[in-house]
Amino acid sequence: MTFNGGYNVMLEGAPSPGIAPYQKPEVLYLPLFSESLDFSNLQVEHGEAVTKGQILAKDPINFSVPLLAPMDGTVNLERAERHIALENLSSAKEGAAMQAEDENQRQTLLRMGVWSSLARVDSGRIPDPENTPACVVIPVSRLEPFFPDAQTLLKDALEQFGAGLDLLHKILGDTEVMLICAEHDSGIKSQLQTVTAERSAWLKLFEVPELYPFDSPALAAQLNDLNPEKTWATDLQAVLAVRAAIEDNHPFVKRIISVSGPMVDSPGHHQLPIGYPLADLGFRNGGVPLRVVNGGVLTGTAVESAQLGLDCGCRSLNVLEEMTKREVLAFVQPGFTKRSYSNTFASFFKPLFKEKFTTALGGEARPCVFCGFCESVCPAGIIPHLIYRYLDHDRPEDAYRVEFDKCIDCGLCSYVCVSKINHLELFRAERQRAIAEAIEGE
Amino acid sequence: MKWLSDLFDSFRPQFEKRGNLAFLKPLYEAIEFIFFYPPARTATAPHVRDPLDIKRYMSIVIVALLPSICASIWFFGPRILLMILVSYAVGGLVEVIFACVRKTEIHEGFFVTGILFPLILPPATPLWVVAVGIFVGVFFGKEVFGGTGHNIFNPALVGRLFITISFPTILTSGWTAPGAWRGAVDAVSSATPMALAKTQGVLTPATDLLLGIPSGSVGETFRIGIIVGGIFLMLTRVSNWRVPVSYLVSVCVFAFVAGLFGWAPATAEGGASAFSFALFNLLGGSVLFGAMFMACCPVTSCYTLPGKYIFGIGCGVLTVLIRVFSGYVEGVMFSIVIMNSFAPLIDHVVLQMRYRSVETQGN
Ligand code: SF4
Ligand code: SF4
Repeated sequence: MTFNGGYNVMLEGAPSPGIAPYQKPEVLYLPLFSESLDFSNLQVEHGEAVTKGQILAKDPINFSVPLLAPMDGTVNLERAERHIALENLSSAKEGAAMQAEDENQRQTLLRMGVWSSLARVDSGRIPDPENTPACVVIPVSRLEPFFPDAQTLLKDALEQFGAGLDLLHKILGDTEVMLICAEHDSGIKSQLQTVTAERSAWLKLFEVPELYPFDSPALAAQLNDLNPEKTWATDLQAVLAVRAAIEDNHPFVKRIISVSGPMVDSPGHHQLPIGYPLADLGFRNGGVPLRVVNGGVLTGTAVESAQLGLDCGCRSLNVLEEMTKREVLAFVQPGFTKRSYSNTFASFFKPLFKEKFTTALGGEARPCVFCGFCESVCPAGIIPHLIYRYLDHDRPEDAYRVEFDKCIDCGLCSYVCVSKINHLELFRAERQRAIAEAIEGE
Repeated sequence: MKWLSDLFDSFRPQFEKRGNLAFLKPLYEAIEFIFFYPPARTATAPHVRDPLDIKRYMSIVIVALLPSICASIWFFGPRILLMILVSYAVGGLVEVIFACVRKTEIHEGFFVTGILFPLILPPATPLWVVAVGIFVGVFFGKEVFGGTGHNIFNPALVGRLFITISFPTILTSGWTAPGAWRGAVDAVSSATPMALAKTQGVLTPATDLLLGIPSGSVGETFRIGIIVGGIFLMLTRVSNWRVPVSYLVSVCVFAFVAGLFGWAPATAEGGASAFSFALFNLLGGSVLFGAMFMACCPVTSCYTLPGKYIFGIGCGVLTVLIRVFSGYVEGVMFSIVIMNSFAPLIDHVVLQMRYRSVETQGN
């Protein structure tokens, strides 16, 4: 197995293992959107009392995946725009979500809010519950800064994880399952080996070097010759949620979130209900402007100020300082504190260190100078600057001819670019366009 | 630095939309942004970026040239500084005018062109020739193509080629002996090693070449400095090692072959002397400088990896062919310019082959 490219961004503020307690919320703000979902179909009315696990809204475009009430409470539709506010909260007696007589287990997963944690690797979209994958890929070690670490998620839950895998395998039509694990993550690896040992017929462990983005399901599909159209991806928590939903009748309304990055005082994990007020997390009141990134710092999206609570797709929040200062003669400074993919900074002579990144672009936008960094860092073995040029000149056919479809959306090309070109933004726009076109064609 | 930023702030309105110097905005911004970076931030993912930018990237090339520059001043006197100054002033003017007319930013590529150009001239080149050369180089070599990143030819080489063809006498009489300005050597001027080899069959010893004792272009004589600078450039990843290495290796190999076949000057026939002919070709003339600083220019060489090898080998073969068979004593400049013009074609063919094979595999 040969791996191309890859690069580790050494960010400060990794979440420490273990789940830290959190303050009980007064009110929950459930966003009617997430990165991939749009809950436009409301199922409740203003002032209605709801119980935990009750469906508040559905996304009609994505197989009606639901937004669930994480606790008992009263719906307030007027408190915040594009959010359902849940007031008078009380913790419910467990379980109690209704089950239709003829419901199959896939529908249970859908109703319990687990299905939306599945994604097709070719498009990133939620898969059709009627379809069956050939393989489900689950990244266990996460290499992008930062996501909840596997050690924390799997603590005391290894057996449940195994049971979740068994269920997933069965529910998804005897699909194969592949776990991605970093080679050096020896603690996790040995735990996973005990899980895979009993299930070797359909469960594989794919070991990858500890380098971003080799944990990518799309890359794993390419390297293992899986058909991307029949490969789905999900994550550790979703596997645990499958078991909880099927065996214990628990809706998937709480997430373990890592709150991390250089601007968080004590980076760690919290188990929070969807809709948990972001303001209560306490990182918004520093003296400097901050950017809260939903997801990893290379691929995540910035949380808009209009978003008040955790959305249902959130796995991690990473907090960076917004760059507002102007650097003085930055290009002639030796650069002991900055590390670069090139070896043009004096930090080259220092051992690896964690860096306090900000949102600085670090230079001015320029035309491509063909330095080749984007190509050498690209894990997919394609030529990002060439594809960028084709797409920029509105020639998508040429871009696909030079294997744009292999791009796994990791963002490293934009990260390293000397000319500060943002390939990723254009690539994502093109993929959106292609998906929209495909949907229209159907 | 507060006073400086205040100063910039007080001047800025003059250059804004309705200010009376608005047409000079690119110049103003270029100067301001040298001192104070614009506080640009990422807008979307990736939210963090590598700290390397184009200014530092280009500065690294100048750093790598420092040994050559210092040595050239030591060898040929402070006059070299004047040549560099003229080159920057005239080339900069062209760049600024184009940026102001096009209303774009001033691009940093010019910092490298402006220093490379004087370094590939004979040390006694009159200053007005320097001015004409850099003007032609920047204007026709770069700006007419649309500026840095869009040019096909290395602008410094275009300028050099232009004055080679236009002012042949000035160039052939201009070979000052290193150290002559200090009275360190008796001769005022001397033939270059390449000319000696061609006309008299004399191969200058390698140690002399390395130390820069024989005459040559401004920056090409002190070859230890070039090697150090070139390796530095490759280690920082600013230049891709594939081009210089394949260039230098192919020069050695083909010069050796030429020596074996007896195409070399009379003294260099036979096995052992074919080897010394290869070594001479590697060190003599501007091969090292050309390979380390000109051929590897990422914009004008190939960007595909196989293309880089082809480009380097092509330069090497052409250099030896021109040296051995043509009326010119030196072939580095011509070979790089010729390969520059083939680079887009080579990339095209490489891409065709690469992606056709993918298509057929898929079927
Ligand atoms: S082209 Fe795609 S896969 Fe390659 S580095 Fe860029 S985002 Fe990553
Ligand atoms: S990293 Fe940027 S400047 Fe370098 S080749 Fe890629 S797109 Fe061009």
